[in-house]
Amino acid sequence: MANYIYWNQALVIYFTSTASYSERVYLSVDDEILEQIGHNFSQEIADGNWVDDFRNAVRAEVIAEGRVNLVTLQGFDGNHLPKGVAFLSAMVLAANEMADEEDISEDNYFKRLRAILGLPTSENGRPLGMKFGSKDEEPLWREWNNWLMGNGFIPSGQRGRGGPTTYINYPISQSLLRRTDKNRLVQLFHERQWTADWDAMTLFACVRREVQRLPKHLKQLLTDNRERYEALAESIHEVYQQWQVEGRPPAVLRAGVSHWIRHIFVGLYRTEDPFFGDVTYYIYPKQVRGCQSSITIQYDGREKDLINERPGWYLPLEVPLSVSELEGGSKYPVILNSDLNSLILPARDFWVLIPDPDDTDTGVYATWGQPSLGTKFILLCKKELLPDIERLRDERLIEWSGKPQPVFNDSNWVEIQQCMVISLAWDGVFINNQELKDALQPAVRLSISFSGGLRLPHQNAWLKGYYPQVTIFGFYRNVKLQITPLFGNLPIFEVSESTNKPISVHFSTSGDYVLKATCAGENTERFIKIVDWSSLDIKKPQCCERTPISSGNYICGSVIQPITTQ
Amino acid sequence: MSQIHRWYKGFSYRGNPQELIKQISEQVQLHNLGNLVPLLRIEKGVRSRKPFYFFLAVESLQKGCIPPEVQSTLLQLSFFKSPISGNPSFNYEEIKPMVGVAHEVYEYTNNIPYQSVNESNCDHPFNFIDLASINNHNNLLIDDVICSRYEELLYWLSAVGSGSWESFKKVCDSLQLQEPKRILRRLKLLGHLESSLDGKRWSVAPPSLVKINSQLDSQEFILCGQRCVSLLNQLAEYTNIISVDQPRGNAPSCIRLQVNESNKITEQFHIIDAGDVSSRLAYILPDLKGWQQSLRSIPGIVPPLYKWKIFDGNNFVERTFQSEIGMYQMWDREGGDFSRMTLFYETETDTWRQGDWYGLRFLALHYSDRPLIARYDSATARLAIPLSQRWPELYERALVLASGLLPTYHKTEQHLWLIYENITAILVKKMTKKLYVTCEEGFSRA
Repeated sequence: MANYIYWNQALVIYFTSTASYSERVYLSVDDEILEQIGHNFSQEIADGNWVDDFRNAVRAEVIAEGRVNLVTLQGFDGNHLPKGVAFLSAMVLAANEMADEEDISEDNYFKRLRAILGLPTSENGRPLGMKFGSKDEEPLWREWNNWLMGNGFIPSGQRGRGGPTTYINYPISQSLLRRTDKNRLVQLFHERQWTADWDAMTLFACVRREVQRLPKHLKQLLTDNRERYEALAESIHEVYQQWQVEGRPPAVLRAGVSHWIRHIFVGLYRTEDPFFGDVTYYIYPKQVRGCQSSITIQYDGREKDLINERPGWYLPLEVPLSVSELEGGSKYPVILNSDLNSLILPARDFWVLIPDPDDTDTGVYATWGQPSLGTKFILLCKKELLPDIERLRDERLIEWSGKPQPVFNDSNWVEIQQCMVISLAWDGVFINNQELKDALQPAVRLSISFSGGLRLPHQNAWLKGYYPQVTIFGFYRNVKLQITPLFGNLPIFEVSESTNKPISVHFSTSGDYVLKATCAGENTERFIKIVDWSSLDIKKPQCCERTPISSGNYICGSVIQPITTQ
Repeated sequence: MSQIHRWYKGFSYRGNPQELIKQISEQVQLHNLGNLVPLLRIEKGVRSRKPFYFFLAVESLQKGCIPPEVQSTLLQLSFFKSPISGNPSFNYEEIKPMVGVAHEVYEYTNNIPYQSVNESNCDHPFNFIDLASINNHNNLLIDDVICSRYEELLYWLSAVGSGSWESFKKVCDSLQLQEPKRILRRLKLLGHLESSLDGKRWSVAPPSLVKINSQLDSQEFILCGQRCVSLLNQLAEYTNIISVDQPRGNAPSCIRLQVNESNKITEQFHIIDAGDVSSRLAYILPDLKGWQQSLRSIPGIVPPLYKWKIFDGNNFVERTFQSEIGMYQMWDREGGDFSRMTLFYETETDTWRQGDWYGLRFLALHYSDRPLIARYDSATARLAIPLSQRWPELYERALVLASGLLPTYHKTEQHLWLIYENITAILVKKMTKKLYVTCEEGFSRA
């Protein structure tokens, strides 16, 4: 049996180790995920049921004399991980087990949580020891959210808007697909006889087209709250892949499956010669959640190991992408890995490429995610999408600069550059390619952006004395900006300002801060770290430049070495 | 060819406008009607549960004619029960005052202003186009604030490790340090940085100790490459370190260490012992022609596609390209404020070569048969080179790493001179021979 600490650590790693920076993280625990995590533990359990093992571990940690005791779960463990994550996962598991048409009420929710915690289900309401959401479980949610922010991710758990669901909204907001949702999706896949190797967003667009045929909870997931579309699309895609692996059954997937073979889906990575302007695209493999073993593919006539580039992504493959690959997609077998089958470049009609969110000055664009408000992106698309795109511009939903630029000689593909979403009002505009609309329609109404200052790449960190300007992009005229230390309550800076204009901010000391923008009941938060010059360390260059000199030597700075030692 | 018309059909409805948009949108999606029904416009100022008008845009060959697939699917929804009486077809101008500019129901929101960004110009790190700043040759008063920014620049580069030319320019801009191309070159001369042969990327060099010629009893070294505050503090605790400002304060200060057993420092602090780099470079570097051959060749240049200016010994002058050996600026035919690249053309091999700007100029001067000169004062161990004949970067690096200091400037009637410190006679002999430079003893004649 794995103990609570073990499960806690494994859950944090599962949900964050392959997430990219600036990704919204959902603690979307369900039976399959627990089985997958348990499957990777280097230990065996008697009955082979990791879900029960997880429940037992949580019960052993938090239940004493029929009461829930959460006091010991506050704070961080020896690895600086929040101690409450496994308990929060149990809360999400309870939300996940609610039936499809069930009303969201405290009684319904806590009945399921009681069952998971092994408490009597004949009683209603909050269990003993959890009488006050604000004092009992909410501090754990806040610690988890703060930890996520401090590590570059975007938290997604949030309070409800008041009433009895105020605190149970935290776990409910994390639960994505319930068991009944998965079974209905499987029926849909079977009915439509889908077989294509679609990526997550293409599949999502197909499922959304069928939304009227789907039951209430699934329909809500597919139409409300665009912020979670990306995470939801990934979850639906996992169901789709599992369904294919299981031979496309007509009704239900096997429950609690710990192990099934998946694919790696890739994005695109675009570089541009800064002096001649030549554009080159590369295949950019995305990491697979829960898969931490090394991966080797058969590529370009040889075996190639995928090397981690940054959280969520492997280094791009070396050979430039050809137009035929872009047009028809490609597939490379994964070898020596029992969890993965192929690396797939899907055949898509368009790709959205954004500047590097960790270091916007590199000039590189890639499929790192949906563009945030105010971010100019490149839309790589087939020419037949141009009427749709023109319509979006005619309705002042997007804007771009210049004419569509051809890519690859004599190809059917063009780039639309410096493209930006400028409006919120997309609902009444209809285009042929619904997936394009889903990809571009803004998921949020407010977004905090940093510009200027002196930044340390990949860390959300700026150096003391060289602070960034803060721009709050949004569709309202004015917005309130508040800056608070991450582990504090008193704001150090508060101002009401116009949206879409840079605001100069000042931080008196180095440390971790949360910026919160609020307007018309909407709010958004972003983390920033201010680093003192004296805390900078030396980092080995990712790529070391060397100048060759004669006699078989090269020089790097002042270090002369024979070329053979490179 | 028949023309498609866009026209509007109007309806009235009482209910939730958001729900109406949502459901119509789902139907359009479900039945793939986006090419026939491009959008929906709703009356301005609409309130929930109050009656309002909305207009469905229809695209068809004949105005007023609803395509059958729209009629049989979408228009079956209850929202379309009450068409505007008379069933007219509107154009946008007729309904515009009523619906505003869009199908907008969030009337309290605004669009995000869009501003296109100018494409970055062709600002190659090897292109030096403005010599004005160095013409101000007087050694300036050293500004402590600027000096500290150069220290910060090296700390930042050390912490980041590597990056693109764009990122280098950006950090200089953030630190308000001007002329990033010259800064890049100075950091290379000081052994702190290396750039790729095409100039697109940079990486900081590993921390290293470079032995210099010393008059002291103990051995003397300079610290090159990466550094951070904690490393300097630890070194200061271990041994005697001296920070010497650069002559013009336009680069990180020179850190000198006086130690007898350098190997203990290199082992304890993971610093590379680079040895006497000046002497090693003087031995290893090829002669000028060998260096020329080692320069990166740029294939595929079609001269008629560009305008060319050739270096005539003093300036770049416009000239039709006639395969003449020399240093050229390559300009777009459409013009522009910056040359695209500066290259050296070899007639013999019909090859375009890329290299550091001063190096290419030195080559051009060599082929123009101008005398290349230097003056050496053995008493002070100082070498003077005319600014107008600055050496290729790798050769100048050998001079700078002899002291860890950039050159000072000295003006005489004939020349503006660069003065390098702590240069041994043997170093002068080897380097001037390799570069075909005539060196005379004494500054009095300079």
